[in-house]
Amino acid sequence: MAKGLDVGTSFIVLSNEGDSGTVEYKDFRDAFYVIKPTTPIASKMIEKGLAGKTFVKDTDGSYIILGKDAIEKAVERNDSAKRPMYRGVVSSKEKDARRVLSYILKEVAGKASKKGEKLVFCVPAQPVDQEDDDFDVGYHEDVVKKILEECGYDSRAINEAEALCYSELADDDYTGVALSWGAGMVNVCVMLSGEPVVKFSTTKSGDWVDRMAAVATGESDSVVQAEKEQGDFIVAKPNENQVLAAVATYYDRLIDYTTKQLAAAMEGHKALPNFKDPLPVVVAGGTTKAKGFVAHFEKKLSENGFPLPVKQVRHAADPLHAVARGCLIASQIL
Amino acid sequence: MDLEALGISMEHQLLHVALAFLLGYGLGTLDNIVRLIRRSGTSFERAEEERPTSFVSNVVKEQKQVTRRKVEIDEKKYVTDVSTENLKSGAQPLGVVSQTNDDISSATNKLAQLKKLKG
Repeated sequence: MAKGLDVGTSFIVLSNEGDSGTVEYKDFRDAFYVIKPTTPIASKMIEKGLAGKTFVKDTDGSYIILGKDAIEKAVERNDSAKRPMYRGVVSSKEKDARRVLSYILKEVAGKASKKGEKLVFCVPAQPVDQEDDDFDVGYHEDVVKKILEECGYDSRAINEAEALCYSELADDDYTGVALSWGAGMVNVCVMLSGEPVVKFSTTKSGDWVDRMAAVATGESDSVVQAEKEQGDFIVAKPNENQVLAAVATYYDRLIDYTTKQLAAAMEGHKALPNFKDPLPVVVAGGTTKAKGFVAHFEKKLSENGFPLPVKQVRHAADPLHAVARGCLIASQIL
Repeated sequence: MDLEALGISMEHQLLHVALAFLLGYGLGTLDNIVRLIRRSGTSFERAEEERPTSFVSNVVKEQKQVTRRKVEIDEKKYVTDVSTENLKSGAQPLGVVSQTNDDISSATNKLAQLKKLKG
């Protein structure tokens, strides 16, 4: 039995085959929030308040609240939750990042059913809009590999958008373009008959929208994220809610930026084959769940001079699980 | 100044110039001998270090060293054990489990065939 694992900036999703024609997913919000009690009485009060929440207690007495509970607690305290990952890789900004990521991965993936069980996880591609020195995929890959090794897995990394291609392009003979819009990055893969020919990423995605909307409205990132995920807004359309209006505007800017980067990165790319037929373009990831996203993306793709012929732009069948599903498919054959 | 008026003949003047030249030559030769004696018995690198170099070449050398140091830092990156033993779990398990009806075997077989064809 093999497994797939989507190690995302916002969500960690484990996938494995269930009974007769089913796939089982385990999702966990990739976030944490630390509360350090000042007195033993405060410690008891905090622990009481955390009943029913997901948390771990550290040796120094502090409480590390994990997952969506961390975001809720941060919003409650008018603060921002922390992330063990930043822009698709283990965060160098948070000192507890590696430890927390390790704990979450070990808990979500669990122990291998037998020593050397295969597991394919995803990593981001090198960004086209950031200097090499500021981005390190290799170290992140090694950290995740080491953690999974400790759980007894024989793990292998593939690109995030490549996994999306494996999940969504089966009916197109595994030929087309896939874009995984995660929280931290947008990963892009062009595939020809099951072989990835071009892979790259851009460093602005859902988190950037949250950050910019937070700056514009004076709210915290966590508040904007919570509003965005619950709120009713349409990409690039006016909204009466100030936060959602800012979110809708920055979505428009994000899509414009990404499609321009796409066009620039692919124009004249040496590895790009001459495709005879128009290609399907598939989008997935939490950022694509906003209303009007796919239509607006298709419009901007055409306006900003995407150099490949496009047959259709479509949403993945299950946008939040598509990458994990692709990792699971890859784990069966790689 | 007219030296002959002071009683110094032309021959004397020429002799003084010749003596000054010989003295200079002698001192120069002596200095070279002393330097050779000092260098003998030291390594080639030491002699290289002592050789005067221009300001420009020093700057180039420093830049090269900076670049080399940067590569060394990158090579030292390694992953140590990430210990989570000190973290004591709360009551709740991590993750929300869901199941979907989805047969991935046909997609897997198709991809496996394509990969096989590509060799």
